[in-house]
Formats: sequence, structure tokens, C-alpha cells
Amino acid sequence: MAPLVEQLKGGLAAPICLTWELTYACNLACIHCLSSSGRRDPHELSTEQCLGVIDELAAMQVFYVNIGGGEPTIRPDFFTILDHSVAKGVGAKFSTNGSRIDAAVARRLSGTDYIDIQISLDGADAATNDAVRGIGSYATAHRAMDHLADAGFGPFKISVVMTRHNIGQLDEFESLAAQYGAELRLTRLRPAGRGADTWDQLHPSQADQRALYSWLIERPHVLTGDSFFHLSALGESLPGLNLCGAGRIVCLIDPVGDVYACPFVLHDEFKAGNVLSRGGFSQIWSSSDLFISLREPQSPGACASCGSYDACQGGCMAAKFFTGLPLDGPDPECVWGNADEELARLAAVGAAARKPVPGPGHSKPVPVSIGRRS
Amino acid sequence: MDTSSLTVQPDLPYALHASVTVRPEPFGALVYHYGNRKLVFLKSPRLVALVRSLGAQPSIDDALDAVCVPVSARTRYLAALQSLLESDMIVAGPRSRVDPPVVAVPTSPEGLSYGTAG
Repeated sequence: MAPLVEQLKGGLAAPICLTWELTYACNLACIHCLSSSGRRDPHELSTEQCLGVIDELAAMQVFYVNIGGGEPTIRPDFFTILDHSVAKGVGAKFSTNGSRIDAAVARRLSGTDYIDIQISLDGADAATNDAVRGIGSYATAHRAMDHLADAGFGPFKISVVMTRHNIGQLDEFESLAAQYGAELRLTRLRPAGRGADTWDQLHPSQADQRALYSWLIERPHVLTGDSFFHLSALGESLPGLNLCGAGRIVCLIDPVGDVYACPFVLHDEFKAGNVLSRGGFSQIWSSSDLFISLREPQSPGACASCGSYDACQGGCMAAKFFTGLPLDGPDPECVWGNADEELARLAAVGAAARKPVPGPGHSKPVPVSIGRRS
Repeated sequence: MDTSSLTVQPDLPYALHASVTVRPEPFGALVYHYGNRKLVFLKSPRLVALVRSLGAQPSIDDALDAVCVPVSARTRYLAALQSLLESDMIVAGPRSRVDPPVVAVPTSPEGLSYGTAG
């Protein structure tokens, strides 16, 4: 029998988990937001449609769903959806900026099994965090964490997107998590959504990446959502499956019901269908052209001659796509710098201006220091 | 804690933990524990059959017989069950509903490997 990783590349009967962005509405405007959230889309799924999606996920035995947004708790039916998910045996993890988690909500959440909460925090101090997530967002997150701790929720997660500005604060994040009895979750910055505009200012340097890798290797209990598998090229593999799960073991449902290969590729090229179409989500998962093609053997392309390909698998499809790199070549953050030449060439010929523009463009204007592309 | 309860006894009954669900996959099955959020891959259909049959058999030995595991392969299957016991996926006693303490993720023996449910 083929090794497990090869089996997984061929796809599963259903996702292990999937990300479901419930709304594009958000009270924040983080400069790296993957879904360029801000305003609600008038075509977002209704409560009834959301409950129908959960019924379908339950029938497919999807173990849990990662609920995000936007800020999912903004939806007036947030708890209806959450409760239905739990009742149907689909565990729910949701990511929040914490703005709606007051004492009463924290108590309510503490009383429900099968719910995990991730509080987003992108700096160990207000200055670092608020530069990315907006003024006051650090205090908001802390207030939410205090409420969860007071309500005895148990070990919630503190979720951090690693940037060159916060990667020096790893030990502080660890202390903060310990202080709250929380779990620390670190994920990779992707050049998707508004992150496409801010990637150049935010993404970690090669030295940062090596420091992060060493730090993670010593702390296998720190969660990463399998985010940093491109760093496994540096030596021993990080814990996790170490492969791109897009369309194979994960996918994304956006607020209007569009299904994308992963949470980091909100672009028409990686859209597999809509949950409201005939056959619903299960048909998209099992037989959409896009997902079937993603499950076919992928060519290592320019990485074929690199001794690290087996470890890093060429890195993240979304990171390559939105930086204008070929999908069958090195990741823009290849630890051996194998993408640097092509990135420099793209920059020199002005190809950066022709990089794919992330869709679907729900953002409200935010002050970022490099120009927005049309 | 009595550590002997964490060693599989082939002559005793075991069952899937009440919070565990088994999902068939082309390679075998995925096993997910809603309590401790652990995810395990069962990489052979026979191992899946063994795990599913545990609760209906008076002992592991009987379950191994029931799904025709050859004597030469028993050590390997017992190692897989040991790992499942340590991650709380199976528990001692038929159809037990007890909720023993969560234990650390063990290293992966042959026939099993772990994904991160984080």
C-alpha cells in the first residue's frame, strides 16, 4: 500500500476539517486579512442555508469546522449556527477578535462542549498588535481572554500570524498563553486578501524563519495548523502532515457559499463551486474538476533537483500564486532562497503589477503604506 | 494512576471510547475523538475491522480471531491497539462510557500515524 501521505494527496472521502467564513463583515480591518473583510456581502448565506450546510457536513462525517470571517460573532444567528453544529456532531472552532466576548457570552461558551475558541492576537504588546489589527484591538483581545478565563472556559487558543514584527516575541507569546492556561497557535502569513498588499512589509526574513523553525522544533506542543511545512526543508520535519491539503484534506466555504480549495486562495481560479448548487457541498468535494485536478500527482517542476523537495513539497500553493510565481516551483519563502531569482526578475520587469488580484474584493479602504492594485 | 490500565491485555475486553467516531476512507479509516480532539489514521482495512469489532468481542484475542489476523501479525496489531489505548481512542471494558484522563500522544507505531487536529 502506498504511504499515507501519498494516500492523502489523493484526497479523502470528506475533509478532515474545513474553514467556513460565516461573514465578510468585520469591525476591524486587519492589514493582512485573507478575505479582505469589512463589509457584509448582501448575498451571504441565510440562517436556514447555513443549517443546511451543517447537516450536509454532518452526513459526510466532517469532524469539525473552523469558523471564521470576517468576525463571525457579528452574525445575529452566530449561536444558532454554532449550537446546530455541535448538536449535529460537527465540532466547532471559531476564530474571533474577541470584541463580542463579554462576560455573558463567555459563560455561555463555557457551558458548551465541542467548541474551541481562537483569539487572534498579532503582537505581544499593543503597539505591535495594533499596527496590524487596528487601534484598541490588543485591549479588546485581552478583555475577551479575561472573560473566558473568568468563566472557566478552559484552554482557549491564542492565534498569532507570524510577521517580521512579532517573530521576536515568541517567548512573550508563550508566557502570555501560560498565564491564561491557553494554547499557543502560530500560523503563517499568506499574501492573500489584503495580505497581498502588505506581504512585502510583513513577511518574515530568512533569519526569522530559521529562528521560528528552531523554536517550533523545541516545542511540538505549539499548534501551527500545519502552516509551516515549507520550513521542514531546514531539517527534521515539524509535527503534522507536512503537505498542502488544498482540495485534498481541507477546503474553504466563503460567506456566500462559494467553495475554494483552501482558506488562502480566495480567487476564481481556485473556486470549485457553490454549496447552493445541485449536489451541494458533497458533490463539489467528491467530483469538482478543480478538486480532482488538485488530487492528481503534482509536478515538482523547478524543485525537482532540490534535495529538500520531499520535506517541503515545494511549499504553499497560495503563497506562490499570489506572488506571481509558478505553482510547480519554489515557495516565495523557500528557505534556500530558490525563489529569490524569479521574484527579483518579476519585480524587475514590473510583473508585480500583473500578480493575481485576490477576490472577491469585500474590503473597505484601509491605510496601508503601499498602493492598492486595480 | 494505575499504569497497568494503560497496557492492552489481550485476554480482556475493550471498546471504542463513547466520544470516538470512525470514518471510512480509501486507505482504512480516520478516527476522531471529540473529547480530546485527537485524530488518528488507521492505515489498513483489517485494523479498522478489528477496532470496530472490539466492543462486540469478549477479548482482544477473540477480536483478532474474528477479523482473521494471522498469528505472525499479532504483535503489530497489538502495538496499534496499545497506541489507541494511550490516546484514549479505545478503553477497557465492553462499550465503556467511562471517561479516563487524557494522556499524551504516543509516538506512531506501524500502521498508525497522527495528524494535528489543531
